Amino acid sequence: MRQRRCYSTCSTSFIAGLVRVFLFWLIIGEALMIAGACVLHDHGRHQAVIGSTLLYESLAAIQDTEQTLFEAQQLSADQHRAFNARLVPVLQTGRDVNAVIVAWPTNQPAPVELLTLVTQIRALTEDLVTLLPEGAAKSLLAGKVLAAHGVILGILALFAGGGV
Amino acid sequence: MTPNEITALLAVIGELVTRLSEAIVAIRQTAADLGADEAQLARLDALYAERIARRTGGAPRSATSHRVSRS
Repeated sequence: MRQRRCYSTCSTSFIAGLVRVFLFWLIIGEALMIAGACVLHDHGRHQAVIGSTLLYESLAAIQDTEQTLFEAQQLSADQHRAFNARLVPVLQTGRDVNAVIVAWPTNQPAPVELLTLVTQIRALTEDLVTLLPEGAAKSLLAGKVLAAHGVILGILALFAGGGV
Repeated sequence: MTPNEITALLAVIGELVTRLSEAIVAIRQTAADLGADEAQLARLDALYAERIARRTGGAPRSATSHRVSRS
């Protein structure tokens, strides 16, 4: 009788031990997984990638609209050349913004260069339409520039939120 | 261990297993997002290069505008 009780007690404590070991490794595993997820999660940079995509889209829309207006002879060759001279630095700065995001290390605050470049691109796009005479073509392009400014404000909001 | 304790333990284990599987899904999704981000940045760089070349006489103008979309 005593021997049977011992078997029963030993078997219960063996199961309890196994369960404790299993629980221990399960908790350790879970902690590691959650830590891994936190390390990999890089919300600010991901938002910047989306911002860079939208910035490209808005700059491309400016370029395409101007090209369409030029081909429709709503802009003269001189205006097209002058616009072009201002557009290329805008596109180059957009490309630089993209390059800064590429070099942005994971889980680091947003690089200061990003703020500088985005501010710069905003000023450059403001200058784009100033040389055009008042009219439908200028209004159309100004609308596209305004859309680009909306995107730029969105990227700047990354800094207001602490960058990451 | 009493049956009640075993039941309670099993409930805890069940909860932990659920969280563990959620963490695995989150990690896989984040890793996929990171890979997609890098590819997207490379694609944008190429698109900028093409547009700059088009306006500086480095490449002929394409009739189709190159757009990217991000899901």
